[in-house]
Amino acid sequence: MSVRALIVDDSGFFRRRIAEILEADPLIEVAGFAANGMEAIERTAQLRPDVITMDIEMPVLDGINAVRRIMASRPTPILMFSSLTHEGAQATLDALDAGAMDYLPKRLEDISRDHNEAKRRLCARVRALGLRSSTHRRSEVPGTGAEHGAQPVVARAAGNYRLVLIGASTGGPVALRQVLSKLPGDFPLPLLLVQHMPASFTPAFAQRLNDLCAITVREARDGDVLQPGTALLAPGGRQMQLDAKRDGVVVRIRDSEISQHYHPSLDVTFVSAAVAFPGKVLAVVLTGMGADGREGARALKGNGSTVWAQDEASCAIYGMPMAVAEAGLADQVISLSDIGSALARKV
Amino acid sequence: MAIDADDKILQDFLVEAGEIVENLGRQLVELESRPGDYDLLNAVFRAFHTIKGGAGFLNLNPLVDLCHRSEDVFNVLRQGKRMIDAGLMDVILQAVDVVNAMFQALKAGNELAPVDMQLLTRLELLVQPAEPVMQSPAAQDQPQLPGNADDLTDQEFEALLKALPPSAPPPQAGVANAGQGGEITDAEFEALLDALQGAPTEKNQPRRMPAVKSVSGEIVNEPLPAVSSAAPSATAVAESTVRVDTRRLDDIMNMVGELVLVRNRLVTLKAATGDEQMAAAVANIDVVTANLQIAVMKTRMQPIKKVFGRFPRVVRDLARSLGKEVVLELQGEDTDLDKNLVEALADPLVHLVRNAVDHGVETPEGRQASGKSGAGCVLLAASQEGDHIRIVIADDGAGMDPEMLRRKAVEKGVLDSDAAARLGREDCYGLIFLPGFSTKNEITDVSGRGVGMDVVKTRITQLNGTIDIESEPGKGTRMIIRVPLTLAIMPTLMVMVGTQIFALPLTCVAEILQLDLKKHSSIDGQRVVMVRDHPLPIFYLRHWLSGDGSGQLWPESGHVVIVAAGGQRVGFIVDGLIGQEEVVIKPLGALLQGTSGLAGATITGNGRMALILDVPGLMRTYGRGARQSEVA
Repeated sequence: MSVRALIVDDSGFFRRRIAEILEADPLIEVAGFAANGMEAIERTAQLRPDVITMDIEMPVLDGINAVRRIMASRPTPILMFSSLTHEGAQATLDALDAGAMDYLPKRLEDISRDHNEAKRRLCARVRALGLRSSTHRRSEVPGTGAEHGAQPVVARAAGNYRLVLIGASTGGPVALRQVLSKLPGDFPLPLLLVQHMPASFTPAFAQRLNDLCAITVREARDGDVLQPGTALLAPGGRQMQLDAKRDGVVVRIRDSEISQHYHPSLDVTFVSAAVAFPGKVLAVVLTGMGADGREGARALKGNGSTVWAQDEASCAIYGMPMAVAEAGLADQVISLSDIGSALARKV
Repeated sequence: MAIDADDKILQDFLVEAGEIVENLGRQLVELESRPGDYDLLNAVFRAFHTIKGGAGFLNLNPLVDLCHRSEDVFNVLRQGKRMIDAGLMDVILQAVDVVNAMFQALKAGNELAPVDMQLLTRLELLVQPAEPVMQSPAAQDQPQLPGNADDLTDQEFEALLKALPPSAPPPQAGVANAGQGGEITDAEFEALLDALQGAPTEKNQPRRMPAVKSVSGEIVNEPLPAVSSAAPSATAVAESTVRVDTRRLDDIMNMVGELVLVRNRLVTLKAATGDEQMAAAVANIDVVTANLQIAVMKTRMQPIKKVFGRFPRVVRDLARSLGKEVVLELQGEDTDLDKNLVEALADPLVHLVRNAVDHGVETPEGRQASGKSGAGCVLLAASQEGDHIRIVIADDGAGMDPEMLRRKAVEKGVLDSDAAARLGREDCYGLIFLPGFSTKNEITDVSGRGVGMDVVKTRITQLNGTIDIESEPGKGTRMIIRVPLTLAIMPTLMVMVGTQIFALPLTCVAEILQLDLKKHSSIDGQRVVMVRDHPLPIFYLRHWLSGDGSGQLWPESGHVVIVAAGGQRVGFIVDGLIGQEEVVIKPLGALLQGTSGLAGATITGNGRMALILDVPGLMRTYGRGARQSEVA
């Protein structure tokens, strides 16, 4: 069964290019087009697409407002096409706040140097978003944890952890916000955040989280020291690791290797944390496509740390958490709405 | 991917980007007169943004660089961090010119050269927020002007007074007194602000622009942002367009032309035959062909907006270089006409509009001296009148003085003084269409080379069109151009002159009368008959067209076809009326080409050849001649 996509962009040229790319995928069908936000709302209602690709700058009604209206009337997974500039970052984060599910750079070059690879990734993303069977609502659903059979949180001696790690990908920005905004300003542990995101976005994202949360959030810098109540966000495009020195643990920011598929990568950070704080880490794997985090989780579990995975029902894309759970590496599978409070209680 | 597919994608981009840039020129000029128009600023931002996006897709990096920086400038503008001024606009217009040049290069299949560093630097500088409005020697002590005039404290007011730049006019006495602790009225405060700022509009601008950034949840309760000036495209329809080479359309048009001729033949034959079934079938073909003809014509139609689009820029640049202020008004941009016509009219219209700005509109001082507003108005209006397009270029400038034109004609040796004296007012205006006739004393770069108007007239005549002039010295001038909607097919009135068949364009024909020609009189050597109490000059076409030595013969009664030629009504006496027929205009062969009075030839329904008459040409060539031969 194919995924039906609605393409929204004020440039006819761009609409046609995206349509060509998507139509080449046998599992995707282009259901229609819209040239501005108003048309996007109308066509969504008429055509009921499985996924919408959305431009931001459009006449009559812009993409962000269109996202908000569509999510309020007929929630549909929406993939934003972003410009990788500071402005684009702000706009994209606004769009995510408005309810868009995911984003990709507008320039194929920025998705991948190899054009064919870029097209493949675009199609894969559209398919993944479109195949979500239930419409995802961001609003909190109380008590979902128990209803969905999540295991009760195992009590563990407080003070046993030295570090909290949270990793996320597709749907992560919104999920992270939900989790972190629940933490009190005097949260006793340092946090490291790994969100798959381009370099131009992470500064703005860290700033937003900082504005919204009681804890401090900022982009990690090479040489940073871990502090309780402070969350360090891995800079987009690079890797964040921990180096254990004689006099303490230091955050290292390194360039990505060719072999490293994601930058920043959950695995890279998780593994280095397992080495720096054996058995003392609480890692949470949130929504996202792929399986980044599974090997890192394996390393953490290997020497006694704890790993939680977000549950399917509350995930935008149940990819990374699924990989962790199916490998038997998840101590808990928790609904998004419960993670924040669980963390606050746990530590 | 095949080169073919890539080329198609490039062409697709060039078409869309080309349209965007066409609109850009006009939008930018509009912006200069409405710098705070948020919708316009947004539209221009999106224009650069969209071209940048497409260029990025195609890896056209120099184009991406240029559009990226231009987009940044407009981002700063739409956030109110900077205001548009003429200097900024000059840089942006330069960038637009480079973008156009890049499109031309791409169309020619060339690589793009990197953008000139100087232009990029100038654009980058414009991205910096503008300097604060109030310049004072101690810039650091600049007091903050509160947004609301009512909130001014005494200390702030004192600080404002101290910050007055030395060149600013001194505040009025009332205001100065208020500084000593008395109350200041709103009006006095406003006057002080004006004195301090010098440009009252600037303090109003930021209020006109609504907050740009939407923060979560806020926008939902606000009314929708105003619909922008860019009309939303009907995308469901737009995606089902096909690009067709215009040569194919030309071919189809030719074939339809041939079909029309054959249809005419059949119609004539049908009249001769008694076969009812045949008659019915032919009637059917008649209707179908007529519909086909209209349909094909429509495929080639384009709105005249395509041509009009370049004028705001033309007028703006020209006015600026001449130190004049001109407001351009465009009307009827959606008027459709044949693609060939659109292209053929472009140059003549540009010349006429430039003329209006250069010769017509006076300098601001000159205008104010005669009690007019400092800014002149040029109107460019198009409308459809039946099967004609009517284009008016009007200005409220100095108008044309017939006497001055008359003098110039004699000076330039175009006419001798007697002939010049006999010219009527309209004829004097018509003098400007003579080659070499220019009333500008210096040859400026803009116009005045004297080669313009005659070329304009020739071009329009080639399109089977007419151009008329109305003017009033001191008030302004109107040029009225009429061209038929299509060049290829024309409804005509077939007439007999002697033993030959001629076709008169039906658009020129006002009436057909059967008159008693015995009662005639003479005005100024011109034979006239009275029709409804007005004198109608009449001519016997046989004198002009038959060459059978009938020079002095005049029928006692006959068919008179009243035609309109250059605002005048004249009557052509013909020897027989055949009827109306739609014909396909075929060009005259080499032998007859250039014969005055003939516009082309065609095949009639009878299969005979007919020459198509060019009424204005006839009048010009034979009208005077006939008069003179009468006198002789």
